[in-house]
Amino acid sequence: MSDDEAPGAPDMTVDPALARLLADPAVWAEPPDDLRARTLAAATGAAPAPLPHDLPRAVPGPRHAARGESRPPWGRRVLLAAAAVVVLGLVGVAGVRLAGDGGAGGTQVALAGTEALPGAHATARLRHEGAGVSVELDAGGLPPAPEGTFYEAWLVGKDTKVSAGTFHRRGDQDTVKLWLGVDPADYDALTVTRQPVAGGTTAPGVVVLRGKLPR
Amino acid sequence: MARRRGSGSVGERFRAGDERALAEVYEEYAGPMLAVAMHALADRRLAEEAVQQAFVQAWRAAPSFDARRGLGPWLRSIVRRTAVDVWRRERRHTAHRLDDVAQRDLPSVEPPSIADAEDVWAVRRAIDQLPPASREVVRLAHLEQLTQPEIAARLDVPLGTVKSRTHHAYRRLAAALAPAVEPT
Repeated sequence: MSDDEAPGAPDMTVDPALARLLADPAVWAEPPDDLRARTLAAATGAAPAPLPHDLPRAVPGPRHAARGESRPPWGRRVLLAAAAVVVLGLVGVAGVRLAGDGGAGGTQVALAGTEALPGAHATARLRHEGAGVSVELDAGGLPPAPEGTFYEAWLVGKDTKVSAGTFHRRGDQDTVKLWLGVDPADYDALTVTRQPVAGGTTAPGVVVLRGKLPR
Repeated sequence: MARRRGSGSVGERFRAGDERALAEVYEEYAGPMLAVAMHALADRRLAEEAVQQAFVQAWRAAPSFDARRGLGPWLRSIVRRTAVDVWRRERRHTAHRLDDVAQRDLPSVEPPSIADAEDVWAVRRAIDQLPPASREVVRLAHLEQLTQPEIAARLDVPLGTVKSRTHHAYRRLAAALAPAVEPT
């Protein structure tokens, strides 16, 4: 039976360490077309084309934050874990409402809770300002992060994602102000994950809110 | 550099200087090499530079390549080294610009994320071996963080198809990654 003929296999997930790597944009990076010609020319002694200096810089993923920990060789630890694929019930889908306007008031994005946090909701207003793009997140519909966890907001694109900052919502302030140093127009979605404090931003978080960015 | 053509495996032909083999090696390994470099450097321009340097070094060292050993581990170690070299160079330049720290004052260290080089390589090789449809489902689920219903909508396929592709993809990943585990 082919993949498409299967009526639907159980939902599955993988070891968190493998999931962390699968969420890393670097793992999915594709060489640009011109790199082949440049590389082969440089290797074989043909006149190599210079490296372009106007290539867009990659946006570091969450792994680049505070990666000072010393880790044992992974081959044994994670690969074994990867082999131990666990069948689990997974998340469903939550509706996503969109409300975009690009006027002076900025762009408004409605975020809906995923099955990991059904009923949660928030509204984000994105504005271009002098220091970057501000994100005012009205998170009144998001419960305080449980002890030992925090929330992290993300812009998620086709090939990359960038953190917009972290918060916990344990006080009585509904509005969270975050900042972006990249243009949201280059991304597809705004998400909020719940991260374990022990794992920091490098750990694979649980997506609790998601909203699509207007194009 | 005039290199002759050879026969046999890609590794043997690469060692013999067959430029067609060089192109074949690039096609197969450029992706994992770029993944390792990107993971270490977090900068596409620098990562591409590291990959290019790695291929140049590999080609120059091809006569010393032991074709009985895999090309993959050899190239992985080379790109790991070129990525570290690029990182150190950039770090020295940054230090000079910021506070005129002398090169000798900088500890000889590596980018922290280089510790994951083997992991990144193995996972990239594994996902490259997935059928395109399964690979895309895994990419959408993990990189774009889409739910399965969202993936179904994005790909315009039934939810059951997404589930089955996910199931098969994870099984294949597990099978591809498990043999890499070294016996204790």
